[in-house]
Amino acid sequence: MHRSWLVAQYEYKRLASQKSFILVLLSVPLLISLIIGLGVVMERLENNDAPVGYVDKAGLLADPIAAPQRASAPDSPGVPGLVTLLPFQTEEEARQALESRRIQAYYVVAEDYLKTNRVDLVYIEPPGENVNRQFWDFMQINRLSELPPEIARRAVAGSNLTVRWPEDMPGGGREFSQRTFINNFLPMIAGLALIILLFISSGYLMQVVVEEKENRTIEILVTSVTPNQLIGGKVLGIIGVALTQVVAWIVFLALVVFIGGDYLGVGFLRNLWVDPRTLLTLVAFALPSYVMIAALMASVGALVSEAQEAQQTTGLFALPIWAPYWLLALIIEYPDSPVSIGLTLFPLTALSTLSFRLAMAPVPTWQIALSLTLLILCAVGAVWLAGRAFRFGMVRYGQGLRWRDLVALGTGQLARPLPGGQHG
Amino acid sequence: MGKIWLVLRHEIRTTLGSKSFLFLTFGLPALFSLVFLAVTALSRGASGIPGGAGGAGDPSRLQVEGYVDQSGLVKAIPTSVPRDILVPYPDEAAAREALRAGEVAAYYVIAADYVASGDLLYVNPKYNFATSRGQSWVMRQTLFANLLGNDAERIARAARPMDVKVTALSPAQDTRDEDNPATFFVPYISMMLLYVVILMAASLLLNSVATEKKNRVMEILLSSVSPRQMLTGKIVGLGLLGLLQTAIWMGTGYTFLLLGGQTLQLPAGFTLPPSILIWGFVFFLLGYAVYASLMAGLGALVPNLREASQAVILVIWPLIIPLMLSSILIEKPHDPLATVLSIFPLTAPIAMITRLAAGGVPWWQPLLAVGLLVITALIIIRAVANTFRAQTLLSGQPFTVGRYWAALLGRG
Repeated sequence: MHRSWLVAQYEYKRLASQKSFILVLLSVPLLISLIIGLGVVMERLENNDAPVGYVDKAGLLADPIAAPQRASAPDSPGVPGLVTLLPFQTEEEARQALESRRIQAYYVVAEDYLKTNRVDLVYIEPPGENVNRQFWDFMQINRLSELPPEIARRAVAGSNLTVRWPEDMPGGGREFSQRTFINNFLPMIAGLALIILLFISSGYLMQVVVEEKENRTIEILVTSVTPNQLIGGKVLGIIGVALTQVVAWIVFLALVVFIGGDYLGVGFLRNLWVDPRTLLTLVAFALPSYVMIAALMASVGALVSEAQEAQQTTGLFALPIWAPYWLLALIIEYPDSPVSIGLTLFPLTALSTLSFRLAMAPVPTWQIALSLTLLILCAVGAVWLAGRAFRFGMVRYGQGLRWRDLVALGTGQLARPLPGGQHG
Repeated sequence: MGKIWLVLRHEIRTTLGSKSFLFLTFGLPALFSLVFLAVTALSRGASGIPGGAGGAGDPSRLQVEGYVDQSGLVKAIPTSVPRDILVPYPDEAAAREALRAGEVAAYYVIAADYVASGDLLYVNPKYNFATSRGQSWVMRQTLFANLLGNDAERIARAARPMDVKVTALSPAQDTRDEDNPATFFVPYISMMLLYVVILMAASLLLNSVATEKKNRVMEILLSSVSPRQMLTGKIVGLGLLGLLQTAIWMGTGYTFLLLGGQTLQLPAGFTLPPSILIWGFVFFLLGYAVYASLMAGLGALVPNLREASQAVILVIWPLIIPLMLSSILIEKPHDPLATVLSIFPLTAPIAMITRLAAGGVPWWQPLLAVGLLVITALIIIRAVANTFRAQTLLSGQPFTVGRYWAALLGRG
């Protein structure tokens, strides 16, 4: 155990001082801020805050009632602010204002509006979606002028809808409303961040093993540690690095929430919150996933003889791990379909699939328990397999990795000297 | 010329023989087809799941829901809502019990101060925030009608306050039909296609150069071919392979579109001009020439493949910018930013094809973009040929950004 610890310490120090470690440390928060930023830009593109004019030929809007702010819904990140509505006496005036870009568009309420319902919209560039909605509401509330104002306002604004899952089910009591909009995506973002981390760090472990093999360091190492101690220590070191990154991200996120929410008053940051049970479940899945993938990658590293070959073999793991992202639409739309359940139970896809399903819909407890058990069993199996791969692979040079070898490794066939292989 | 031909033939032969190329060309489309078929089959099977999409407006699929009216506002259920699908309960405990017993699929709680606060709670165990809104529109309509005093004439008047007739003062610029997904997907697919093809063909070149450099084949080749001949042979040969790969990919995609019985529903006013195929080909050739040469220059400088894949990002970032801003390019193809991106040579191949697919680009813009691209391609090919000197090709120095630029500028 002491020697595993030494290996782990060495691995940790070496990885944490790498340039790429710092790059990864920064890249994920950057990526996430970029995604959020793009979302905000899209939102801005759709809405336009410039004033809008109107010409009332029907005489309906002599003493207009302002349109109310629309009520909030759980499926939208925010309600756009109201734009200023400017009355114009004649169409010419409105048109001049439009051409001089003082307004983004203008509406003309037709003389025979009460009969035909006709309203003309004139623009150079189409106005934002918020404008269409607001003017609709404006006309609506002004046609309900006989109602008490607060009743009319409520009828036009609609309901502030909050959706809740019943308390007596897994993940129960969770609420969805406009305030929690961003929170809905947090499990998915957390899952993605964990998987990127898993990939980069375990890929790195593989490179380390191949390099040590290429420059024959490994032959010196095995004179003083057993292969099992070596693999155990390396996996431990990688997990340490991964945990450091996770802690750094959480601190970064906490800082953003603290500074952005409390000091700058960004509304959605103040409401940022994930169900601790969801987070705990994800972490519980991430740890064995790490051990499993790291061990598998390390065994590939031990079996191949060149860094380039190792990189190509990574595809073997990358394909199933990213598969849930290809099938994202299917999992989101049918979180309880056999495909989603199958992907939840399969160890390589469990983490990512679960991160979607926990975000979308309640996941039955038995599925979580079964999947976690399978994952832990596989992780133990992978470490055992990696130990064997180290024992037999580390003095193996100049041979490509074949499927046959992997099968033979599992059944213990590789214990015999390899035919045609050069032995260091 | 004969030597270029030899290099070209060798490149095609070795690449066609490599397993990874065969997998990418034939295996990946086959794999995607399998996944596609599986997903189609499964989603057909899964569409019967109750409460899945929860089709709004389809009365036959509406479920019975309960409500607790703490405000005393709901006096009658409007006629637009099917009968017996809203069941009143005196308090939330009773509604919860009914939900547990399976009598109702969900229930609402209308807050006591609803008129002032507008608070409406919807307890629904099947709610999926990404796909289904549940059927909360039923309750919204009921509340709307009751706020308006269940007066049929008033409801009709308020439900449709205006019929808008649109006049656009800018006749030259046609606007995107936002309701038709094809007007988004056609430009988007054109963009992705060109991006993938240029990148794949260019990385073939990087791989080829870096591998030959690493296993010292380069040393032998350079004794009989000039660096420039080698570069030309490689660019042309691997470009042809890239085209072949695209043809196979597009063929597979098209076949599956036909097999699945799906056609792109193009709106009447939206036609994809045939000229876009020609433009696509021209922009592919030029984009490939630029990026393949840059990649070859990279391959010439890196000591091994691992460093090569890390250095690629240095070269391809201009290609990624249009991808990131794809929404602007598609939604607002006449935005100044979009125009600049589609004329600037390094981003032009992808950005211009997106705008062309979106439609309405003045004729001189693609011509200008092509002209600038040709000039850029010529400059870059010259610069890269400079780096293809024995001195750099044979050295094992580590790759740095500084060395790359210095070599391109001929000072290496």
